[in-house]
Amino acid sequence: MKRLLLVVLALSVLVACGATPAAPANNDAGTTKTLRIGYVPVMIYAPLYVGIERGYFAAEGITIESTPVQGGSDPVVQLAAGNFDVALGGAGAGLFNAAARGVKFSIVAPMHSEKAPLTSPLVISAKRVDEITKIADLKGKKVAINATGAATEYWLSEALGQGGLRVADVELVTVPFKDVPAALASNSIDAAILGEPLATIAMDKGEVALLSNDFINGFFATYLYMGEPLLNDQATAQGFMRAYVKACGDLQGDYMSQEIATIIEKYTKVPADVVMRASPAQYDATGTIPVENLQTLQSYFRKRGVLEYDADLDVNTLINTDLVASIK
Amino acid sequence: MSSSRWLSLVSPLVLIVLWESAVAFGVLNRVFIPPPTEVAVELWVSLRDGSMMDDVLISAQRILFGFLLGAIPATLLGIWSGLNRTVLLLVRPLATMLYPVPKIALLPLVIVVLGIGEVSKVVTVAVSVFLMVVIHTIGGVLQIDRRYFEAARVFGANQRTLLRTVAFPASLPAVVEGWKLAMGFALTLIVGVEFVGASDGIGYRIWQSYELYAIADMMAAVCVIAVMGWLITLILDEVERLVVPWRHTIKESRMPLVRTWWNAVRPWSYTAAIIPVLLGAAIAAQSVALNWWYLVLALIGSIAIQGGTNLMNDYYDYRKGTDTAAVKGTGGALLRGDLTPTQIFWAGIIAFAIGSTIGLYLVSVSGPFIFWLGLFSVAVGYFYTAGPFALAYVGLGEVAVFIFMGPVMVLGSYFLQIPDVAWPAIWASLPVAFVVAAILHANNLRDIDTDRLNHKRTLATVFGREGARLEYHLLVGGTFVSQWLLIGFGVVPWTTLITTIMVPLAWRLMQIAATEVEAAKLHPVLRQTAVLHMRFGLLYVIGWVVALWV
Repeated sequence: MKRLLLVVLALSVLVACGATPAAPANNDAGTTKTLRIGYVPVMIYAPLYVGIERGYFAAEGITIESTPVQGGSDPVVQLAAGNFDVALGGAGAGLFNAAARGVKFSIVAPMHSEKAPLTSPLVISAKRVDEITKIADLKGKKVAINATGAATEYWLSEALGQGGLRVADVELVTVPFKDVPAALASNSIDAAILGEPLATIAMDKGEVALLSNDFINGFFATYLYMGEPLLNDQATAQGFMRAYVKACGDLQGDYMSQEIATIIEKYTKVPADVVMRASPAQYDATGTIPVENLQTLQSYFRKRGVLEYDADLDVNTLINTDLVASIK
Repeated sequence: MSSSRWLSLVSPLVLIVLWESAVAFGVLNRVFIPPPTEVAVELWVSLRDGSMMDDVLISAQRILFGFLLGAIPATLLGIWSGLNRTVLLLVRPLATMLYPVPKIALLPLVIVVLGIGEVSKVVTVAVSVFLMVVIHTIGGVLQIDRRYFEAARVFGANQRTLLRTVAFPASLPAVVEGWKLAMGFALTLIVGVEFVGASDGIGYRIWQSYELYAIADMMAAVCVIAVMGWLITLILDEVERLVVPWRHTIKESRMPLVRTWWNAVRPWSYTAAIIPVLLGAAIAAQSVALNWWYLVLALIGSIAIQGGTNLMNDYYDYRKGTDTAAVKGTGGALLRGDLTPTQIFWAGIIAFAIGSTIGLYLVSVSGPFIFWLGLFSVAVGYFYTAGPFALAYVGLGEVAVFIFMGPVMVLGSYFLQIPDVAWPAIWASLPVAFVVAAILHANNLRDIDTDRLNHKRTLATVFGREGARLEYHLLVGGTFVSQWLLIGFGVVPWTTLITTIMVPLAWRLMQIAATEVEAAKLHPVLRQTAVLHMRFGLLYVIGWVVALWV
């Protein structure tokens, strides 16, 4: 028994040594920093996946320890709690409420924006294409988003706006993206915002049909966040930012390729061929934060009555433009 | 709630106090974990606008329907399986296989079949309840002693009679246990069920408020679930008492334990802990609007320290052999063997811990003065009868009580409201200090002979009986005289003169003390002096409060 234990121990030591990544050859300092990052394992987080897989972070002497989390304000809250150094995620009502409560974070760069064909389209059950032909038909119907107060709620309000409707004109329910096809199939809901690649997968299976995928044009709802400790370590923060912006630069225009699709598959478990056909998200390679988009979101959530604080926050206090400026 | 159930409030209270202190001291970050006070405010808001009750009722309805839908057929099937081997072989393997499958994971599939409305939620709860109850019921029937069945058969019982007279009643305890577990589980499950595809209910509320980072609201909903769980348990306990009355007798024999503790902490002595706190606040109220939260905390803290003192007193008196069966001065729980010395000791420590925790919180909000005062309080409480120089044994009991349960406590309570060491507050506390010392002295006057035998030095044993009588007169008389003088000097408002109606009682007590020598005759003096303290104290406080408007 003891000998067996020794063998196992020896083997695990060997494996552990083998698994240790070699230091990047072109790292000037010769030391690596490990940054813990929280993200939601879906397609739109592609810059992170590409940055890791193409070695952009490693080239800056940064090892990424990525942890998938739920959506909402979770990544940012964990960032502020010190469990992450960097976070990627949507700017929903939770983010603004957290900021108002004193949760400390800085928005340092935008992540993805959408334009037609959208990455998060409005879909209906494939069986009801004759019954629901235009957005105005959704009046009084059950429409789902993935989470209350998520940026997708703003998406929905814009989509309904195309048909002259407001969110108050429909019955809003929350259904996680993965459960949307089943809920549509059972007529539990009549329409839903459905994020890619689930939209493509469900359309492949003939479960859902597009109702609209052009209601947003270049709006940024997801961002890159850093906490105070990393921002104080300016060299590392700059290194991360350079790699991130570079990865975003790789994802411009009609960027989808077999290689990128394979990288995305690795992190999201979505088959590369599906990724190839899904509507790709757009990324900003300049790191310029669209302050007006943040303000639009805050105003929208204010109107929806889900903000816990009274006076609007000055969104400029939430952002940090110095980091991006310092790497240009 | 019956007076003996109060103990069950202790642990939640401790938790809340620890939680609040942890946030106050920054152990928990307020940004991420709101303190109970903030949660309470949020809870109040959501109760007042009715939204919390709406969610609770919807969830309760889902739980109830799911429970009935699952538990009734499960109970019947379980009993049948227990009696019939074929059914058992058909049912049990499937039930035990499905039991550990997380039903919540199947919810999306249930939604596909049953839609996103109420039915899918109720069914998910029902399935889990069904499996849990069926397994418990089968176990309950199978563990019935086979001889019961044989005996019944010998007397000619047919299958139906067997079911009615043996299987059902004998398995009932296990069945009810299964119901209880299933109900608790249903409550856990409903939260998960409402995470998916719900737009109301308590689970949805938790989920949504976290999504929105409205964490105080989230914690409020979590607390509501805890209360729901507690209520459901209470209801099921009552149901159990109704349907399994023979189980009840086992539980009943435990009740005296609770009463024993009730006696051990001597709740009637808390007037001494409560009056000074109220008085300090009433004096402060003359110049500021009261912070009620501090007042409530100070009351709880002071009661805890008093309780701790009583328990420690019992423990060390027992160890030193002073309290004999002849003198029922204290709770006497140790003498009767109802509680062990260790239990008493640790209960005392816990009470001091609660008191100190509250004290530390109050220190964090009002500065080091309260810290020294609190430390002093705990020290006086502990060394009252503990340690080699126990105050009560060296004749300093009355002095300690006079200072501590008079000026010190009144000033402490005053200081919480107005952070200033105010002489008028100290002066105004003197009448209360006199009467509280009189309680202790009445005790010592009664025990003067036994204390001499045990070499317990009190002022009474030192002065002798005559001196002790004089001292009692000085203390009770001093109560009123000091008050009148203070009114004369304009320190105390004239409205407090309503205490004058207590003069006859005081006069009677002084007369008994002056004539009686037997311990049994002097015992009522002790009781009545405590009553005097309470009534005088309350009237005195009321006088101060009335002065606000006069």
